[in-house]
Formats: sequence, structure tokens, C-alpha cells
Amino acid sequence: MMEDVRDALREGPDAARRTRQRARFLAEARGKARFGFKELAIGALAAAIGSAGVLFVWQQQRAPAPLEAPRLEGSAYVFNEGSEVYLEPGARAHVQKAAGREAVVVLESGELTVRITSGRKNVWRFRAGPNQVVVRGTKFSMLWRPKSEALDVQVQEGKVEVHTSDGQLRHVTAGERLSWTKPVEAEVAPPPEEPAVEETEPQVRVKTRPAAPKPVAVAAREPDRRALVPEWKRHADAGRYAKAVTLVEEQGVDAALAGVSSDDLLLFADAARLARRNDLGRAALNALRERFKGSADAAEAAFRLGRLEFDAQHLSEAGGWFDAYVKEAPEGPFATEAMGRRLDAWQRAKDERVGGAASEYLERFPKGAYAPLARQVLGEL
Amino acid sequence: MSNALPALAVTQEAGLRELLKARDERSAAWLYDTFEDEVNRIVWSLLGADRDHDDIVHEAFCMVLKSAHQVQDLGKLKGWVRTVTVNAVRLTLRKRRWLKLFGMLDDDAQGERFEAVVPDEQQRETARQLYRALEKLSPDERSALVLRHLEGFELTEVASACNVSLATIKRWLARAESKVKAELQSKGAVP
Repeated sequence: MMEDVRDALREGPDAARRTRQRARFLAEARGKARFGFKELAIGALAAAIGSAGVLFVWQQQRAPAPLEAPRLEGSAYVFNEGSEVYLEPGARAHVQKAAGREAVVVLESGELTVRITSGRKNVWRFRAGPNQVVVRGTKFSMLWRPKSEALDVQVQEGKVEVHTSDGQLRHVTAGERLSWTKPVEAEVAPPPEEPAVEETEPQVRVKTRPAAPKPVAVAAREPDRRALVPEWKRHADAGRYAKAVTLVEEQGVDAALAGVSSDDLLLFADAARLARRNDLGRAALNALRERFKGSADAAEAAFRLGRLEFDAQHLSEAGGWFDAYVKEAPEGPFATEAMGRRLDAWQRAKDERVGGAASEYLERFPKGAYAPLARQVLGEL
Repeated sequence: MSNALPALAVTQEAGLRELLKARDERSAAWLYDTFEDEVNRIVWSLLGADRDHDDIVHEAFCMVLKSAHQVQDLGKLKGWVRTVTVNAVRLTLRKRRWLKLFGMLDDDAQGERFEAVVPDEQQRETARQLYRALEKLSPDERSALVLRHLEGFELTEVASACNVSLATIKRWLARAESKVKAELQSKGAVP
């Protein structure tokens, strides 16, 4: 029995959840750095007024404080009553309103992970293009791709209302996922050159395209999609990284990854990393850079290669990849981190380019997380 | 399964202790990247794909970050991270007991959480039966049983992770095994 359960649970949480865990922890670390004494004071105060604290929490649950403009901690918006909105790497979003009992967050593109703790009295609206997700107390994530007008909402706790631009309202509850794409507009086909159908054939059939199929689907219940998706990708999506990697290896890495999109190459690189196969992750990212030269994804691949080499203690190479990212995407979503990590890697590697990296970092981010290191480097030179 | 952290990682992390002491973001990233598998696996097994899994992992890492610089020998950090993680789960289980007592806990008695993570129906039912039986144990007994039989820790590793002596772990294990067996037998899950 124990072996069955061990097998069943072996995979653990998926890569997306781990990414969110990491982002949340780093945001917390950024907020808490060097404030040990403050926590002690808060702890002592909390102990002294324990019973009052319980009462306070109760009151908060009954009547949460009015919402105020959030503070930005790393890549997370943290609100006064404890709710948090994390911007996953590459996401763009802003808080349009946070006052009284209502907050409005606009997701321009990318993915948010959200934890709302203020109970049912506050209303939270998350806008993605013409679509809107309305929530009260819940945990969920949403992904918005403006180009394809595709919205993906996954709820971990509670329930959300999704208002899509086609005028539909859908409820998504804990454990469910909604994948919605804007339906294709009806369009007029060119008239037939000569009557090709009998008079009894209804004209409407040749003049308009039928309505798009129902756009809502639970990902795991889409047999047609499954048939189109390579098997390794299904395993990788489900968090079975070792299996995904084995399948690709069986087929031959070059053959399996030939012709796949840059998104899929990034997915495979993630699967390889989590399966502890850095060699394959490196191959996939290099292939991506070769095939999609000059694209944003190619720059992101450079950033990921930097992280991979850094973890493998190949510090000089790591710095080189972060440098490539900075040059290819100087205003990209990872530019701040890439500049800092380039400095860090070259400083550890005692690389002679560290001085230039330190100056450049200080020039752009004089108050950045790596600014003390940059000053230390410049002081030592 | 060794408690020791790979020596390479530590020896090449010059100034790691200073970064940990300052709770520098880089040390947080290093902690997460080094121990994410360990922490996730322990929490995942102890609570069974729990809905609060990510929150508990976060709590565990925050506890680790807060005190990691106090660990004398950084080579023993892995064992200490295990202990902190197990403590975080035990605290959660104790808190839930109180909440349950006052009827304030939705404890997923039907094991719905397994729907999303265990595709095989037979395995899913087995997992439900086991975790229902584990609910009958104290947090200490549960930790000992899961670490020993699901995670495959050696007895000494279980004792170290639970921060008690070997003799105590043996007592907890014996009690836990007997309770779980009786519970599963009463439900007809095992002969």
C-alpha cells in the first residue's frame, strides 16, 4: 500500500507551482532583509497582546480594512490587508484602483498568481483586455496572451467569476481550470461563381462560416487536443519530467524537438532541468537560440542558460550568458536580474569584466539589490 | 540517503553565511534552489498533496532563511532543513486540530485533493484510504510513519528530522503502525 501511494504522489507539485513558490519566497526575502530586530519586536508585542490579537483577526475577518494602494515588493504587489498579486517572470500588470472595498488590477500580458485574503466584503477585479475575473477570497492564477486573446484561469481555492468578452459569465471553482480563446468572428465567404448546390440547399450555409466551437474546456478533458500534442509534452505539462525527458531521448533529441515552437523548447528545457538533465536543458536552449535568433525567446534562453551555468558553478560562462541577455534585451523583463547576476557571476569567477559590469549596474540601478556588491567590486579595483 | 549537503556546493559558497545572516536575496535563491526538492517532497508526503502545500513550503523556507546562519556546520544544513520542514508541517497539523475542534476547518475528508494529482483511480483510492487513516495519528506519529515508510528515511534520519532520540522514534513508529493498521482493517482496506 505504501509503495502504491509513494508511486502515486512521487511527482510532487508541478514546475509552475515551484516557480511561483520561488518568486514568492524571494519577494518575501527582499521585504525582510536585515529586519530581524523588527520581527523580534513584533513577536514580543504579539505575545503580550495574544488575546487581543485573536480578537483583532476576528474583527478583520468580519470587516476588513478599506483597501489602499499596494506596495511593490520585488515582483509582487502586497496590499494593506495581506492580499498578494505576484507577477510571474515576463508579466506586465498594474493596479488601476485600490480604495474602499474595491481593487482593480489590469493584466496587460503574462501570468499573475493571486492570493486574496480580505474575505467576501471586498471585491477584486482582474482585467485582461476586454475580459474580467471577479473574485473575493480565493487563490488563483491567470494567464493572458493579448495577441491570441487567450485567457487561462486556474483556481486553487474558492471560486471566481470570469466575464469574457463574448458576454458570457462562467464560474470556476477550486481545482478547475478555464481555458478560453476569443471565438472566431463570422465572416462572409466570396459568392460562388456558379450555383454549385441545388435550390433546396440553404444559402446561408455557403455565405457564413459556422459559429466557433464552444471555447470553454477543462484541459484534461480535451481528447482532440491530446491527439495533437506530442507525448513528451503531455508528460512535461503534467509534471512527469523524467518521463518526458526519457521519451525525447528515446526518439532522439534532435528529431523530437525539430519543428517545435520556442515555447515548447522552453518547456522541455524546464523539464530537463527539473529532471536533473542539464545537458539536455542546455541543448534545448542552444537549439532555441539557433532557430529563433533575434527573438525575445532567444534572449530569454540566454538568461536561462546563465542560470543553468551558474548553478553548475560555471561562473564565467554564466556571466557571459547574462551579458548576452543584457545586450539582446536591455529593456527586457529580466534585465535587472541579468545585470545583477552577471556582476555576481563574474565577481565570483574573478573575471576581469567585473569592473565594467559593476559600473553599468550602478549607473542603471543605484539602489538595486546588487548595488552593495557593485560598490564593493569597484572599491576593490 | 545522506544528511550531508554536497561538499562542493558549500565550499564554493564563500561568504554564504554572511549572506544568510543578512537574509540577502541571493542566499534565499540559493536556499530555494538547493532544497526545493527536499522540502516539497517532505511536505507533499506528510500532508498528501495538500491544498495549503505551497503556503507550508513558503513557511518552511521563511523559517530556514531566518535561522540558517546559526547552523554551525553548513555541511549539515540539509539535515537541519529537514527538521525545520517537518516542524512546519507538525505545527500546521496541530493548528488544524484546534480549528477542527471548533468546527472551523474544511478538512477535505473525502480526499478530493487527490483528483487533480493522481490520475489512476485505483491509486487515488489507496491514497485516500491511507491519508484518512493518518488523520487518526498525532502529528508526531504521522511524521515518523510517513518519513519512514513513504519517504524511505533510515530510522536515524527520521529521529534527526523529528529532533528526538532513536528510542522515541521507535516508540512513535510502533504506535503509529498499530493505529494505522487497525484503522485500515476496520475499513476493510487491508486484511
